[in-house]
Amino acid sequence: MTDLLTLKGVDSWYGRSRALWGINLTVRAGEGMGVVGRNGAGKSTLLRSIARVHSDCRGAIELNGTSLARLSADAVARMGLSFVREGAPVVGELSVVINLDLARRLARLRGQEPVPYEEVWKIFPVLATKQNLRAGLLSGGQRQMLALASAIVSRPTVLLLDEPSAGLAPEACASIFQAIRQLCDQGLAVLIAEQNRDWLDGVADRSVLLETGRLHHRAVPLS
Amino acid sequence: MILATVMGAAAYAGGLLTLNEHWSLWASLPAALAVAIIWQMIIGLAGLRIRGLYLGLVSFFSVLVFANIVDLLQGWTGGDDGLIGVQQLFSSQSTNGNTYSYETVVIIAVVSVVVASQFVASSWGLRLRALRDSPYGLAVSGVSLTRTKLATYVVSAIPAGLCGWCLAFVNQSVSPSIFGLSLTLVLFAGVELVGPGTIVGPLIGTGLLEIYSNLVSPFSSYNVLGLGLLLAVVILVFPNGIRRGGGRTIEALRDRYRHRRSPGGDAASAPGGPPASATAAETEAEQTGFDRALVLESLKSVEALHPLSFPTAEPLLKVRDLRRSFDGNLAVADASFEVKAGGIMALIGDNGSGKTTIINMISGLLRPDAGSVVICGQLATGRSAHQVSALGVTRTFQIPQLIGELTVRENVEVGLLRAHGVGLARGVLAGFATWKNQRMLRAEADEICRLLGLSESEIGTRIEQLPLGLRRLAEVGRAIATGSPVICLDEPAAGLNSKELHELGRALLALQQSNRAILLVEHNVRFVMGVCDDIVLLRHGEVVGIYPDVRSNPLPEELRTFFSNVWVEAAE
Repeated sequence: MTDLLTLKGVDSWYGRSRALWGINLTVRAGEGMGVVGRNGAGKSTLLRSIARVHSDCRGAIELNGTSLARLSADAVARMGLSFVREGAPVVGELSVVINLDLARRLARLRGQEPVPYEEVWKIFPVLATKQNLRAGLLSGGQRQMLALASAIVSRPTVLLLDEPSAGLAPEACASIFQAIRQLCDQGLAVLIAEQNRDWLDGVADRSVLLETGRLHHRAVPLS
Repeated sequence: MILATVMGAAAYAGGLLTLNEHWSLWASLPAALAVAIIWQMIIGLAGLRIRGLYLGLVSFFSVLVFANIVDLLQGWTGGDDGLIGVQQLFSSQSTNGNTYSYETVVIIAVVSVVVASQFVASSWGLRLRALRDSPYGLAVSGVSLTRTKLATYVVSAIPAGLCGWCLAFVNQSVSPSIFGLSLTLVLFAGVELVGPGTIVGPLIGTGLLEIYSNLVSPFSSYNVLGLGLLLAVVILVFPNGIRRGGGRTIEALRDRYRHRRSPGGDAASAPGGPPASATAAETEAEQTGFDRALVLESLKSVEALHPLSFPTAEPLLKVRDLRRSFDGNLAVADASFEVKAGGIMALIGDNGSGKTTIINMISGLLRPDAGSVVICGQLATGRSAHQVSALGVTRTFQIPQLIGELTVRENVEVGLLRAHGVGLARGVLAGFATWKNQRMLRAEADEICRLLGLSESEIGTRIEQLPLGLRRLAEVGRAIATGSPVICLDEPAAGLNSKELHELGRALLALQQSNRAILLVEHNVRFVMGVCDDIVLLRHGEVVGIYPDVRSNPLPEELRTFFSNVWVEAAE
């Protein structure tokens, strides 16, 4: 399998305080990689640094062999990396369908055919019933679903997920994580920060532990 | 921005009373201050309802309206010519020609800085920041937003009034042009220029502007032109003022230099060195998930919270036939349940089944279409959020409503404001008492944070630097701090790892032991089953079932389905 995402000696700062210390990490195509660790250990910073949303970092980050060092967040997104931040950011003023349309546009920018609506509604049946509702009127969990759906629709090659299960009812979680696993099996690389092991174990082949900004590789037995 | 006209109102009051009514100079001061406060209240009424851009517009209009009022009352105010021949400050003492005007101004400036500093250091500083950044958080902590705003008006009108009053007697005249848009601009620019959010910043800012204006001469066209240009440049380059913006630029340059010195991966040479590695226990907890027995064991070492005097099993929260729809969509349909003292009830259901809507109605942030909420025996329906909170309920939010620029500790202190905050007069005047009060608030907040398992460094970290999971814990801390018998928590466990779940669970069980009633919206099945006694299951806004004592009874089929077999697998 090809290495889609490679990190070598990545450090990250917030002003004077250092959040990440020399992170080395490789995620291959078709692989689900979990990131676990205490709140404040640097999980979000790691994902934000890879997506170039956080730019105060050093070291080599490569997406499919291309260095991301000098790229902006939108350029990285066009290259095929999707990042679902925690707290489900969606465009509240626009309807559910238009939110998804934006993601379809991103898929085309990436030279991909977007995931058809029917498949999206299969994974997220609730969203199908809310198609024309303003995203701002969705409940917290439904917004999280829309954020995840947008990421999936845009056909990324690398998907970064920050606490995707937050706010999701168990049943919804089960179907969403199953869908992500299927995408993985089709060659998607997923890096997922997730505290709830019930869900993480279903997606991640391996997990790494972040402790105060340092990475500890360890094998996590698959259930 | 409306302060220019507040100054004007006080100046006219002082001028008119001494000129026409022949009051003595000092007798006119309290009257001028009263007029200033009243004018501020009238203009401020709009601020009780509106925010942001519209409030800004109203403020600008007040400047225009002020000039119009002066013009309409021409016979009295002298119209455009203004009041001329106002007596001089300390004119009676001017035997040697010295009017002490400058000395007086300096003294007033020093006193203002001292009073303002200590006001901001008192619990009022916290209260005002909460009003600005997390009004919902303040309201559910039982503090009235309206009263806080009114107090702000009084407190800001006094120095502005004093300033206007002084201006009248230093200039020995009062004219409407002084209190027009250019003064508004100077005040606004003076604050924004150096350091908004600081006390000395505006003083330096206006000082710089005054020096500039005297250099180019106050009546020159370059005065306002330069002011406008300067303001535009500063806002573009340093949106947070020169002090912070400049500081950040210096910091960024220093970082760049440092990064070059210590290339990636070379941890040892970086300042501070790596923080201590996590303990083995943490790694252990990582593996185990939520364990009630462990939590109960560790609960023994927790100092008991102040127990409430309610008899156990008395229903503290009663929800009767609550109903609410949005745009014709029924979000909650006749939901009824109750939570007893010493009970932890989970409110679970699919996404969009109405859980948060119910909590919004309980906490008074949303009016139900029908039905009632009773808290500690008193009807809460129809009251405003802070009144409902005062009956004995508080809550947390899915998206935490906290003050980003303040620390966890200070955010927890917001919960203590209603019971332990100082009054307005004490906030303005009593230095030592507020200092003692601050120490008390701080100690109490620290204790609550420790109960939640937050470390010393986390307690002192600004909210904006913390991950979402810890922000949620900070909000739980604020909820505990209010001392409310009924606590509603909206997904507090989302994004917490096993160790943090353990600590949150311990805090909830400690609250239960102190006889509080907890309503918990949560999707983490293991946490729900480990902490809660009873479960209410919602579907499409309707209560499907209420399942008491879920840990001792066999799991009903509905819950089994809802949990998507997670708990069933875990139990086996």
